[in-house]
Order: sequence, then structure tokens, then C-alpha cells
Amino acid sequence: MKSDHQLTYNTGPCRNAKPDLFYKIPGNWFCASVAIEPLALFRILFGLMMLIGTLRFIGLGWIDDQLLNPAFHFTYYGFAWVKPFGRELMYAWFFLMAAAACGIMLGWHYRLSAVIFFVTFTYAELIDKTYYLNHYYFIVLASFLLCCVPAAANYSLDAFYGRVRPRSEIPAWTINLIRFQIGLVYVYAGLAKLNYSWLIEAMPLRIWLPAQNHWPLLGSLMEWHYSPWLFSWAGAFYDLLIPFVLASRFWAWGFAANILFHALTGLFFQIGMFPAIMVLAVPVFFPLHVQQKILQFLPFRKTNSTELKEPISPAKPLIALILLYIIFQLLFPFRYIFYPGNRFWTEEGYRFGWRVMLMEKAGYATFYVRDGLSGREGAVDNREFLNAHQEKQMSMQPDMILEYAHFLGEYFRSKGVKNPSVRAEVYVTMNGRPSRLFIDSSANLLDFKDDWKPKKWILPFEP
Amino acid sequence: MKIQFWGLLLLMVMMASCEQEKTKSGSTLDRGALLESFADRLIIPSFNSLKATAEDLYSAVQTFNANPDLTNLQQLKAAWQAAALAFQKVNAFNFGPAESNTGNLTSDLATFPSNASTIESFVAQMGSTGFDPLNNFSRDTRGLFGMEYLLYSQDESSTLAAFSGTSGSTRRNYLLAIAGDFRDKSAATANAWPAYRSTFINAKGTDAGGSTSQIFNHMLISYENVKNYKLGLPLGVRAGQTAPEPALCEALYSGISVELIRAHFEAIRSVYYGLNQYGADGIGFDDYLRGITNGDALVNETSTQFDAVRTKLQSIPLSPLSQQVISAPQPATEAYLAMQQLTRYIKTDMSSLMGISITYSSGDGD
Repeated sequence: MKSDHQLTYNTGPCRNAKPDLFYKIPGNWFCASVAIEPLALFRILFGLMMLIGTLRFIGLGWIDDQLLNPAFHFTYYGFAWVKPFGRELMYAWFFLMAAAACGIMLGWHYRLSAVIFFVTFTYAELIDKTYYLNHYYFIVLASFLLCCVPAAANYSLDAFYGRVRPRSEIPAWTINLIRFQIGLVYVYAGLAKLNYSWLIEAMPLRIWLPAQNHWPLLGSLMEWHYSPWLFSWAGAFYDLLIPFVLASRFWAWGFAANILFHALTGLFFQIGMFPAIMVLAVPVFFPLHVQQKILQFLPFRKTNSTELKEPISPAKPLIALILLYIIFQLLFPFRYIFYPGNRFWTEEGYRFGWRVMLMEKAGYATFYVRDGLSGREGAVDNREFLNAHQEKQMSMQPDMILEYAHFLGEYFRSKGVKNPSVRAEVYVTMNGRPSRLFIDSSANLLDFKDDWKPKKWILPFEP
Repeated sequence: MKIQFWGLLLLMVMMASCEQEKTKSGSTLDRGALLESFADRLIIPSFNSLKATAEDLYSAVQTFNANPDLTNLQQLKAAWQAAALAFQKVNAFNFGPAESNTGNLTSDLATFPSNASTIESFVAQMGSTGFDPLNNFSRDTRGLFGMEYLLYSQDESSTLAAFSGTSGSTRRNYLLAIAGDFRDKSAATANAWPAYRSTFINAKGTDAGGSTSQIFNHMLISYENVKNYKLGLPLGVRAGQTAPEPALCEALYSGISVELIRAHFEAIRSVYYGLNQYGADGIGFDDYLRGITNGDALVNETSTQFDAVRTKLQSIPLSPLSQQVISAPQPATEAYLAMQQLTRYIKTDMSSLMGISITYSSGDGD
């Protein structure tokens, strides 16, 4: 049995293969033998935040509010089969998620915990895209990466009780991949801010900051005429540069900026756990001696751990997989270029792109169901089917409008409406501009299917 | 050291310039003043009026029960109408003290349509010992429209006959019980507001829990209720309806649906403009919006549409809506469509520009 565990925790792609020309270039990035502390520290802090986050979700009653009570859920393309379970099972699912987060934090049955957390969390996220958040996507990716790396080979109960062979060194890719992922979140969020609205018009901060003028001390700064521009530019620079600052000798300044940035956004916007999660994710960039200092307080450190002795050289398939992951992450957010029109307006190719808090957008959608036989048309009260959160998100996102229209068509067909057609009058306002008609209000939405092609029934954005 | 010094200096300069800016703009984005205006000029006086009319109504019921004659019946009906109209003014304030374990003041006291058969069965049970007509969740048996059923569902001589004598005692007791419930709940809310006032005014945030979001969201819910339930459903313009449904009218028996709809809409309009109960203008959402980028244009557009709805509502005849939806639905339909057009300015542009959270339940965003 013991050898099995050792195998599991072995060094991934960095075994047995001989170095060749192709692998020489990324070789060190993948296979240098490095100290385990950054990865262990990330694992512990991430597990802790996930434990708190899961318990918070349960405690706020969101399992009922978000997943169980709504009569209808907005599904992800290709994941319409993901449905909420019954109430008891759904609660059990979340408590299992919390237990798995705890297992990640303590490094107890680590692989199993990581896989369970990834599966339970991802499934819960896939139930309804109303609740899509970039940081939930980050958690999905981070927990996936944690399934693949030996993050509990030290500073863990597994190592302490000899369930796995303790290590003090691991191959570099395991840490670099996580650093890459966090760095990508920031840099892409920064790139997304490099647009006319954000930099020149200082939108949406020109709307959001004055709404925060009630805070003591900060309040008057929020009302200052130039604050939106100051914060827009500072935010863009911060996002673009912070990963590099954190990885440099100025890391302490970077961390101070990181705390300040996330404290302010946490104060101003309803973004829940996100600021705390990011603040506790970035120590993976810190210098080793700092990480060691933090970790030395842990009771279950294994000092007599085995050094990584095997010759380090990459195994082709896994290197290829890692490269594939990296390329996908780099390219997928840019898929919006294949869609015509303003990407903020149409939101085609918008999700999974690290476009965080970029625009103030709101909509109002009235759906009309028409009986094909009698010709009688009636308006839908969205509150009958959707909660406020769902209605808000649906009213400005075309794919959700379409899915809801199909749901309404089926629902009213079952209620005796003959040959129904469904059209929607949708008004959307973006960044403080007067609301405009968003989609073709005469089109029968049942004629269209949701797919990856551009949605022709979206009306173009008029600045 | 040097950096810190320059940083401090920059911060001081910035603070100094905001002071200037503030005096220039007159600090229009003062949610404290907005909330004070709502509390002191609209909400507290409206609940106090409701409390007073509910007390009048209760004593009119007592007078009528002691002597169920035509004069007392007509006075009771007048008291009921006054209470029904006063209630419209608090329809948008279903938060804080107006929230209850079972729902809110509107669902507790103004659920419609009333349920005639359950009311009659409760009336019949009033004779049996230990029966409490309020100890159930059938809110369509009490409140304003429970009383309305008892007072208006038959012609006046039949009503008087039903309430008179020994045989009328269960009916009298039932009316007294639900009028008492109406009085008690109205008074409890009105009496709780002065203490709640500071909580309300101090929650200056624009997050879901802040008072600005709260009053905005409840104004919007109230607006959608008058549009969808008081007009849309009786007109039969909701999806799945195949014909008008006059039985779904508010105030079906008294026939004052149109008066109540107008009063309800006026109450919402008062919140938007900050009008007190005598129509005097004070700080309202319109004043606050004018302090925001692009706010002037929005207020102008919204005002035009408010006026349009008002005109359309004024042109609905005062005859019973339950008859109009069958015989001459055009004026009511036009009012409904005008209200539909106004929704977008409130629900979309206004909430967006104010940066307030439209999600009544909480949730995270990014």
C-alpha cells in the first residue's frame, strides 16, 4: 500500500525521459527541484478560505435561495444535465464540500479531498449561470490544479502520520502553474480595463464611487470629481503589474497594495469572499524565507523529509497536457474577437474571461407569449418564475434571455397555449447611458437555438 | 521617508480639493437627507394617517354593531373607503416595521381577491367556543377586502338583515375581529416607526441592506404590483390568460378599484418626487438623481412618462373596473401600457445610475 502512495505523490512529468532539445527550453520551469513551501502554503490558505466560504454559503441560506427555490435554472452550454438534487442531498453535498475543503487545508487524505472539493464545487457552480462569478471560475481552476499536484507532501497530516512519503522539494511546474493562473487573473483583468470607457470616461467608477460617499474619511474622496479617473487608472495599472511586483524583491509593497486594493473593493462592492480569497492566494509568490517563516508555526511539519533524488527530466504527455492547459487559458478569454459588435453590450464570449467589475449594466425584460391559434398575446410576470438575482442577470444577457424564452414557450404550451411564440421587449442601460432596446422585439425567440454562433437578433450598440 | 511625505502631501491636497468641490456642488448626493425626507415627510405621516383611519374604522364597526341601521352602515362604508385609500400610501413601505413573520403589511391587510366561501365558513364558526378567525394563514379572509366582502357583497337591505338580530351576531363578531386586527397591525407599524427611524436614516449604504436600496426596491415591487395585479390580471393581459378576469379586481364589491389604483400610483409618484401627503415637494429620488452624471436627462424622461401614466389613469372612468374590463377595456389597457413603459426608467436606468443593488435577496457580484 505504501508504495502506491509514493507513486501517487511522485513527480509527475519529471521522470525517466531523457532531456532533448524541445524540453530544454521550458525544462527549468517544469522540472527544477524547488522547495515545497509555496505550494503547501497555498494549499493551506486556499483550503481555509474554501472552508469558510462553503460554510458561509450554507449559513446565508443560499442553498435554498439560489439552488433549490427557483422554478427554473439557467444552464451552461453543454451542462444542461446538471440539476440541483433534493434538499437533504444538496445540503449533504455542501457539507461534503466543506469537509473536503478542510481535508485540503489539513492535508488529510489530500488527493481524495481535492478531487471531492473540485467535483462538488464545480457541480454546484454549474447548476445556474445566474451566479457565475469570475472568482468562482478561479476556484474551479485552482481546485482542479490542486488535484494534480503533491501539495500535501509536507506540512500536512498525510505527511505527519506517514500516509505519504514526506518531501521537502517538488518539481517547479506544480508551483509555477498556480502562479501562472493567479497572475493570469490579474493581468487579464487589467487588459480588459484598457478600453475607452474605463480609462477616458472613467465609467463605471463615475457611477459607483459617488454611491460610496457615506463612509467616514473615504466618503469625501469618493465624491471628489477626479477620483473615478484616479481609481480607474490605478486599478488598471495595479492589475497589470501586481503579479510581477509580488514575484520581485518589492513583494512586500506589492502585498500592501494587494491588501489595500482588495480592502477597498471589498468595502465598496458586494463581492463577498473574493477579496479575502485573493489576498490569501498571493503568498504563493512570496520569497521562500518568508513562506518558511509563516509555515514554521504549523505543528505538523516533517523536517526529516526525503529530498527529491530522481533525475529531473520531463515526461512528454504530461508536459503536453500542461502546455495545453496554459494555451487554453491564454486564448479562451479572447474568443470574443470572433463575435461582431461591442463585447460589453452583447456579452458574447464574455464569461470565463476575467472581465471583473468592468461595467454598470442593467436591463428590463418583458416577455410576451402569443397563442398561435387565438392570436392573443400576454405579458409574463418574471417574478413568477425567477428570483430577483436571476431576473437581473437574465435581463441583460442574450443567452439567458433565449433560454428563458424557450422555458416560457414550453411552460405555456403545457398550460394549454396553442403553438406559442415568445418575443421579448428588453431595454438595457450600460455605463449610465439611457436604456435602449436590446434585442429585436418582434422576433420569435423560439425560432433560435443557443449555440456558439453570433446572435443576429441582438441589436447593435449605439453609443 | 521621502515617498511617505509626498504621499501625505498628495492626500492633503486631494482632501482640500474635495472640500471645495463639495461646497460647489452643494453635496447633492446626500442620502442622509434623502432618507430623512422619506422618513419624516412621507413614511411616518402616512403610517400615522393609516393608524388614524383604522381607529375610525374600528369605532365605526362598533357603532354599527351596536345599531346596524342604514345610517351607520353608510358611515361604516365611508370609514372603510377612507382606510382603503390611506392604505395605498403605505403600499410602497413594506420594510422594517411593516415586515412581519407571516409576510408584510400589504399581504396581511390588503390581500385580494377575498375568499367568500372561507369567510362564510369562518363566520359560521364564530359561534363555537375557542374559535379564533385570525389564527390561520388565510389572509384572503380578513384585512381590507375581507371587510369589503362583508359590507358590500350584498345590497344594503340584505347586508343590514344579515348583520341584525341574534342570527347576525356571528357576522358582527367576525367583522369586529378583523377590523380589530386591521387596527392593531396598522397601529403597531405606525408606533414602531419613530424608534426605527434612526436605523433607517443611518443605513446610508447603497448595498442590498442599505435604506436607499430598500425603499427603492419596495417602491418598485409596489409599482409592479399595481401594474400587474391591479390592472394586468383583471384585464387578462398576462401570459396564459385567455380572457379578462373581472373577479380578480381589487375592491370588487365596492367598485372603487380605479380610485385605489390612482391613489396607489400617486403614492409611488410621491416617493419619486418626495411629495408629502399634501403634495408639497421635498427631497425625493428626482433631486438625488439630478446630482448624478446623466441624471438630469433621466429625470426629464421619467417625468414625461410619469405624466403620461397619470393622464391615462385619469381617463379611466370611475365606474367599476370589473365591468370595464369586459365592456370597455380600452382606457384601462392604455394605462397599463403606459405603466409598462415607465417601468424601464425606474427598474433599469434609475437603479443603474444610482449604483444601488436591485437584488432584494443578497448575493455576491463581481
